[in-house]
Amino acid sequence: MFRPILSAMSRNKTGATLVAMQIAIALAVIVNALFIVQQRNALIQRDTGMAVDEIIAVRSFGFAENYDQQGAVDDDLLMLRNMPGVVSADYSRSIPLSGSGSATSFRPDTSEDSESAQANYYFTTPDIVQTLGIELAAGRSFRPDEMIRVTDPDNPDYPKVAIATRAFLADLFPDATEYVGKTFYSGQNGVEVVGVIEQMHGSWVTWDELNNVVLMPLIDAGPVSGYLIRTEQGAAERLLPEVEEALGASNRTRLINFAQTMKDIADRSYSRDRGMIVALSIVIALLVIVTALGIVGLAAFNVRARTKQIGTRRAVGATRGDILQYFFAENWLLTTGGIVVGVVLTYVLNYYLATLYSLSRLDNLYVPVGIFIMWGLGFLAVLGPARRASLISPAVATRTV
Amino acid sequence: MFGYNLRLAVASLKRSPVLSALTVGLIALGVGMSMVTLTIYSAMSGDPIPAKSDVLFAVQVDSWDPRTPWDDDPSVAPPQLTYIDAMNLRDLPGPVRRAAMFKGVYTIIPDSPELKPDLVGARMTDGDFFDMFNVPFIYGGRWSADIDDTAERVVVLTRRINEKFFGGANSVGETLQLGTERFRVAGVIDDWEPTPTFYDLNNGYFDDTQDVFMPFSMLQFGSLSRGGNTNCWGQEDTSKWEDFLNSNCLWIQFWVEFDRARDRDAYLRELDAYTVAQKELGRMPRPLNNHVMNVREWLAHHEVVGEDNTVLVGLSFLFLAVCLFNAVGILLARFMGKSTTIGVRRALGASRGAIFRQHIVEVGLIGAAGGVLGLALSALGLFAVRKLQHGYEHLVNLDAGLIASAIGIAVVSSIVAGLYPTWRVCQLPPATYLKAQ
Repeated sequence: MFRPILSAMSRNKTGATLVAMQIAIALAVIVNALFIVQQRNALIQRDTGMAVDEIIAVRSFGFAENYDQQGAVDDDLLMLRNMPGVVSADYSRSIPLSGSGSATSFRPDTSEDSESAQANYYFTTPDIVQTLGIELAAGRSFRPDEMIRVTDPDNPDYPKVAIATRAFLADLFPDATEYVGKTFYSGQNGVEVVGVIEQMHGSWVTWDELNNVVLMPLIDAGPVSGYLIRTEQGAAERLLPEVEEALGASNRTRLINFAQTMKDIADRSYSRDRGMIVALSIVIALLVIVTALGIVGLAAFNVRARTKQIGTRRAVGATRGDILQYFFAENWLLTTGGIVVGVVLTYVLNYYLATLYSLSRLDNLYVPVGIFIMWGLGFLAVLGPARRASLISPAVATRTV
Repeated sequence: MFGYNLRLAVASLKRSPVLSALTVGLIALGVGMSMVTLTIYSAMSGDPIPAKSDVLFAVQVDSWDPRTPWDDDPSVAPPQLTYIDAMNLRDLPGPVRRAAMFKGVYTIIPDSPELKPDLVGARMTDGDFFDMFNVPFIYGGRWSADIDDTAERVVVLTRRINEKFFGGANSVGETLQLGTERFRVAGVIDDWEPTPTFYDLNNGYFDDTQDVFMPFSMLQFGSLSRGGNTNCWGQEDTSKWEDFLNSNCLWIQFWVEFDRARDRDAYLRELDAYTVAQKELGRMPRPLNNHVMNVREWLAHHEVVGEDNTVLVGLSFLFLAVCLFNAVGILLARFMGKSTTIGVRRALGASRGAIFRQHIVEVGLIGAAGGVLGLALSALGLFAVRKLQHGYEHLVNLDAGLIASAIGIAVVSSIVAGLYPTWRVCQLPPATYLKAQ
């Protein structure tokens, strides 16, 4: 049944080739773009371990000569916890997911050449487990009596206990099964693990060791400090200005130089990936439209050019369904031709993206997805012109042009 | 003749307005998309200081941990220096200018109680900084070289800070309270936003420039609030300021300027000799791995352009190709639809050349229209990028060169797209089309 179709197509070879080329390039770009979009999405959707939507983060900077960090932290936390809508509040010098923080290597013992593991570390206060909404797989959070308060920045004490993520502890103690009670070291300072965090992200979302996090009970001497505030569900956005204003008004020896919801902070950290997703989605959408236009254009042109032939076929007994079927078949043939070339192009493009840039090799599952998109697109695009062809009256055949 | 062809082209476009609009729209879409990605790409790969990019050099000394290299690639040295090395390199002969620097944080406390205190980003650097990087001054100028040793409390303000605290007047010689001390204003600089912020790429490539500039030498006399990145290794106690200064922590950027680009080689030898001498003192445990990179090398080393942008440029040109294939199809159908007219013209004596010229003018017209519309689309796209994408606020602006290349891409690609259809109509034998009717 394809032979007459092929011979009809050969009368407008250029038109058919052009559309097939569009389908081929579009397939290659769409499949690779979809693949990148899905990868970035997976990156953004990773489990942070935290109740990101219900946290407000604030940073303050004590500038006055009489600024008293320890007093300020106590007063601020008391005030914040009493604010309506606030569930809990903690001191934390740096903010998870924000792109700024501290990291260091910890060792399983005091020797210089033991295998170390890197981690984001946060100095914070005991309610932090509730504030961040992190899950403790074992052990407990630290207690108020374990807090270290640094008043003399030249002679700071180091915390004696910590809670840490399972990922970090597994890196540091590869053979252990129980981590509570283990001691790790920062220099000569031993720190006992009192709790294991199931999962939590640190500060730099692009860092390989993002899941390695250590929380320790300490309020440092300032003048920079910060707070993490857990709000009731859905209240973070609304409370943000209130929190900022209350903190600004309560103490004139410091400036609130940063206040944002954790959601916004995370969005900003992923803004490059989001931008890529948006850009690629636009490319995909426009490609679909343009390719569909190409298919419609060619089919419409063919219907117009073959009006007389279609009328003749109808006059000698072809049904409307036959005409429809003919154009569907012709279009399927064309689309499939484009797809065959397109699959090759897809892999060529992916090969370049993977060798020249650090993109991964294509997941083969995306190719059939792309093929079905193209087939569907071709079918939808040809519907209109094919219907118009089927409506051509057999009487056309009898007219002289 | 051109005028006549132009009139014919306009008339022909008017005859099939939908198809004409579609062709123009397709070219505009393709051009718009590729211009947006190309503009971002060229802004990122642009030279932030073309006049001097070959004589300004970032200095790297590998003083990192002997157990693990700084990077997976061991030939990559850390981007910052220790305080000890920065102080020593300030005295190393060779450069005509040199500047150590780091990012600090200060609070400006206004004398007038009506104004609120302002937390500002500070750059602690040497006086040469302003000369090296061609920083434009409105009032005053750099501080003198002796202040780089005496750490006299002087400050250079940006236009914004000067407007806020001095009402935009010439504030040179006035004083301003920064943190706990008073500083004398040495100068006020005009808007200066090199993109990328090549002299300090540690906190993003399009970081905000700082609001105030103060002498680097101040840090030897007491603790300062630091911004920026600090990387330490080893198990040193750095809680005391003096211990921190003498530690292996990396946190200072160091730039030099030479008279001639080739002075770099001699300087690199000096640098290696310095490192070897430091090894005698028990420092610098890693193998020699020093680098002196000019601005372009420095930006390339940091891969400022970013893979995503390069990938998008490639994909957007593939999109342009699809648009053009589509446009070729439409042009072909349109031109072939005019076969009868062309047959008549040919029969009346028009040469193939005349037909060709007529259609190329028509195609060029479509291309120009597509280019203008595409330019509008790309301006819209760039506006959206600036508004929506964090870090691109200062980045993307259409300049004359880009406008020219947009029109250029549009006209060239539409002529390429139109060549085949045009050639095809010229091949039509006139007789065939006169017979039937």
